[in-house]
Amino acid sequence: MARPELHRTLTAAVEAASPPSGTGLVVTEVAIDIPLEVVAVARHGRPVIGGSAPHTRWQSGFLPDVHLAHLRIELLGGDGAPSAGPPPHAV
Amino acid sequence: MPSDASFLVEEFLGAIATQLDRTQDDLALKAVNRPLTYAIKDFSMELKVFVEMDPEGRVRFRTPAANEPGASSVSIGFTTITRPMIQENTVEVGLARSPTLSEAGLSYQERRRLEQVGVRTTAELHRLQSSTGSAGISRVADIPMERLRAALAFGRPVISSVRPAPRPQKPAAPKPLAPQAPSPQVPPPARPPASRPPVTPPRPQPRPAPVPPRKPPIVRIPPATRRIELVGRNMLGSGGAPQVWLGGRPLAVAEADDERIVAELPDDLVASGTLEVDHGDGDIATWELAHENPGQTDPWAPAPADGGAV
Repeated sequence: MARPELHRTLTAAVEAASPPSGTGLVVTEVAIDIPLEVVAVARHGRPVIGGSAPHTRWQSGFLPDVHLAHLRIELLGGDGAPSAGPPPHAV
Repeated sequence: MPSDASFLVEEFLGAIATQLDRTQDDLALKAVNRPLTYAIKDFSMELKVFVEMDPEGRVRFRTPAANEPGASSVSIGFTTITRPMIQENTVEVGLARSPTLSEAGLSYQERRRLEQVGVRTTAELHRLQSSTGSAGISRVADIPMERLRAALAFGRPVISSVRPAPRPQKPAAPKPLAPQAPSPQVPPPARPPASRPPVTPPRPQPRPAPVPPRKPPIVRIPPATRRIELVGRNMLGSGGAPQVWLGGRPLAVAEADDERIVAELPDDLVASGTLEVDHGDGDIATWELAHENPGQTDPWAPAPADGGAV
């Protein structure tokens, strides 16, 4: 089964942590434990890591092992440094 | 995607780091149009892999296929670090740019054994040799002493020739513009100084101890020479550009790379005398600079009259 590269899954996870614009809500830090189905395949002789969320909650002998990943996502300030807290206009 | 391939541990971890880098790149692009930017601060994973060892003794990782129990769990953590932390945890550029062990003629097995003690380049081999001695490396890595000495000698700086260097080309003067009516009220603009290549001032370090007396090779150069070019290999060594003296006076190094060093002579220094080059490894290369025509000091003076010429 074709699996997306891991960075697409991670970007989607960060995207999911971002609050919708216009709500006035600011998320400063998110920690996620996310199970991933990870495979390493060779592309031009070099390994490329593919990874995606499991497509079922049911354990089955026909599915690859699930690797538990822990992500900590932080809000960055304007200069690329981690933000000290929510901006003053945040609700 | 089939997962029947196994990979070296460093390649496997590098592939994960590449995915994290690409994630940050994606997020940086998104930040162009979004006021808030998020980044992955830490990423850890309990990786299920089969750990294998290939016939050459290298550890490899293979991700398990479906319905393949018994995989090991490897906990891997990635975190963001600052540039100073990167510099603290990586080898110096000077050590990394020196010749590799393969270029020094060591076999694959010999290279593997040296890599296991943290040696990947001849500069690292030289550094280890200066602290443990050749005999210690030979015993630990099981490499014959003569092969080790040959690799060490290969990594040393070698100057194959000394010759006068041409003066740097000055930029072409701008073409004169079409004549215009003079404006006497406006003073002429100040002429910018002629551009010169960057010159590093000589390092204020004590002159090395005099070398034992031996007859240095004589290099004949034109009397008007102001720049001396040293050609060879590994010229920068692990400590950077060498120190150059002429007649006991330090010379400024104008250009330096692995195959070529250009030293500039001060205006009040005649291009003759003992030229010494110290790479900082204890050996000082010496030449004796002499004028091409000892009786002629003016480079523009006419050549001696030929009796048969008309």
